[in-house]
Amino acid sequence: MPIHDQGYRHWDGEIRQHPLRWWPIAQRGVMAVLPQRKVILLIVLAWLGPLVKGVTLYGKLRATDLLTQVLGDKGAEVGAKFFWGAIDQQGFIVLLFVVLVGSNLIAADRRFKALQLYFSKPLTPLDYILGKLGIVGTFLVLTVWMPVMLLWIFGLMIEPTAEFFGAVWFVPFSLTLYTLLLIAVAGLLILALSAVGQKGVFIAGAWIILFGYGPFQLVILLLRELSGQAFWSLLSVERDLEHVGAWFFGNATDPELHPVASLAVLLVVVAACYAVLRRRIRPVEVVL
Amino acid sequence: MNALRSIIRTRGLVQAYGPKIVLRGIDLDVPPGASGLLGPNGAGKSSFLRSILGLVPIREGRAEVLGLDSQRDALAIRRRIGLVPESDCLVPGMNAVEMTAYCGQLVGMARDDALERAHQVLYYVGLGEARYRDLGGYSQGMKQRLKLAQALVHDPDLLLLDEPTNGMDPPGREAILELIRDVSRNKGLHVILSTHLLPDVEETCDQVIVLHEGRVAETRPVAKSIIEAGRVFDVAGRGDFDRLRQLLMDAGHSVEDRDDGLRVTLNGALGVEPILQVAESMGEELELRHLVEAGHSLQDSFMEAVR
Repeated sequence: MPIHDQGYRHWDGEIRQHPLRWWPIAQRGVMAVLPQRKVILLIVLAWLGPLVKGVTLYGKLRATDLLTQVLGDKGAEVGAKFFWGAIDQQGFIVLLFVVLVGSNLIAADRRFKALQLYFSKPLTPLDYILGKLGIVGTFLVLTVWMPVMLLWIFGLMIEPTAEFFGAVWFVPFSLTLYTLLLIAVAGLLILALSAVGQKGVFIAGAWIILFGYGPFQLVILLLRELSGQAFWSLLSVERDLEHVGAWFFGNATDPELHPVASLAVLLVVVAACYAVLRRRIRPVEVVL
Repeated sequence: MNALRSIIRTRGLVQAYGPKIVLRGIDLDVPPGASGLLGPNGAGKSSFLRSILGLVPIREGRAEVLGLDSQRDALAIRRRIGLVPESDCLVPGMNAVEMTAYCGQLVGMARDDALERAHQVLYYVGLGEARYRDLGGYSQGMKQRLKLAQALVHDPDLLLLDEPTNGMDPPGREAILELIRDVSRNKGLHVILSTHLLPDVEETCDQVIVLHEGRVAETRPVAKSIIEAGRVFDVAGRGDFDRLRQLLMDAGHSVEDRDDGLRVTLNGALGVEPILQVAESMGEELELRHLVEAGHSLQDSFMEAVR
């Protein structure tokens, strides 16, 4: 009869912490979210838009002669506007993803008092924040960066010409830059709200308002129209992101506002969110 | 590590939250083995644990844990320590296996190693059959066992337990204390048990450190308290106390003079009987008015220290 020792046994394996200490937090978070049916559905939805864009791209590039005749320069046609359009159409999916994935990430840990478990391990508050940001970031990469990147590769495969490459070579850089900015702004904002709030539904509502979607966006546009002052647009984080993103892709931007102003607002948002997170994510809660 | 004379060494440790000073210059050498950190609420027990884990900056002085500086090497220390926090804490959305393995990964174990080890320690703490169950249905005792499992998953050198038997029923409490005794006495883990429950310290620890108002009020071996219990008595009354002293000393007991009588430490025997026999043999020469056990139990030491 086999006898299984269930007493305490010393472990002689190796403890080698990942150079990126936040990695297990991000990895575990992604693995926990990924199997959810609503998340899978959203990922499928997120890839539908780029798929349609891919078909469009194929049509445009294959109709070479016609496009050359009608538009003159086909490379320009599928360059800046085309790929930025593919990103821009993902806006609503990004909204849903960030809310779905991010709203409870820290709020739940605070409710279950998990922070003291995290900080009894060799982790700093920055590691914890980066780990949680990595979860949101992974899904933004899956829904924004990856499909557009594949679209770009697909374009190069069906039109492997120097002319086409010359018109779109910058897309991977612009795309990566924009995705990083999106992760920093949208991710840190939802995490800051998650660190402050308790209930997911209120956190989601606050994020939508602060991000500048829906009715809030309309109010801002109305204020801009009525006052004739373009700076009102800066109050919408979503518009700022769109403004800066279009600038990264070399597209025409708001003629009344310099993109650097929008970028500055976004950096202030990032700094403010990080400050809130550092204040709320502490190894020890002290009530004097 | 076994060569260390002190697993924790502090010198002039001052800890404060804003203007409020919570540790007031603690000098301490905690020997290897199991030590109890005793003290009433607000004595500074939790602040002491936070300081040595490097979770809060030290205002003055220094602390070393397992030979490492608590501020400079905080992460290295936490790699070698297992902490069982006082309050209920769970990582949401996981069962016991997932949570324990996840805690192992956070310390630096490979995923497969952490998973295998999680099963081992969950069996060890008695959660083997319940390891896949929803944590929402866990009793208080099961949650405490789970906290112990996540602290043991990476096989730490030092186990810190903050009120581990809080809110537990007697069988559950006894089971947790048995686990603490086992890892400390049979498996060679050093243990710091922070508690306000004296019996927990008596049952598991070799040494007790009493904290009071941010200072070390007393440190002493637990065995000494147990040995002295029932052996030391204060005697007072009227009559020939010189002769009483002599008779007690002739019987082999130790006697010391006090302002209001004598303090007698019995040689071997327990209880008041040997003193009563001597007193009765003196007849009318002695009138005993006061014969009580002197404050040398752990309970009495604690009360004296925090008075």
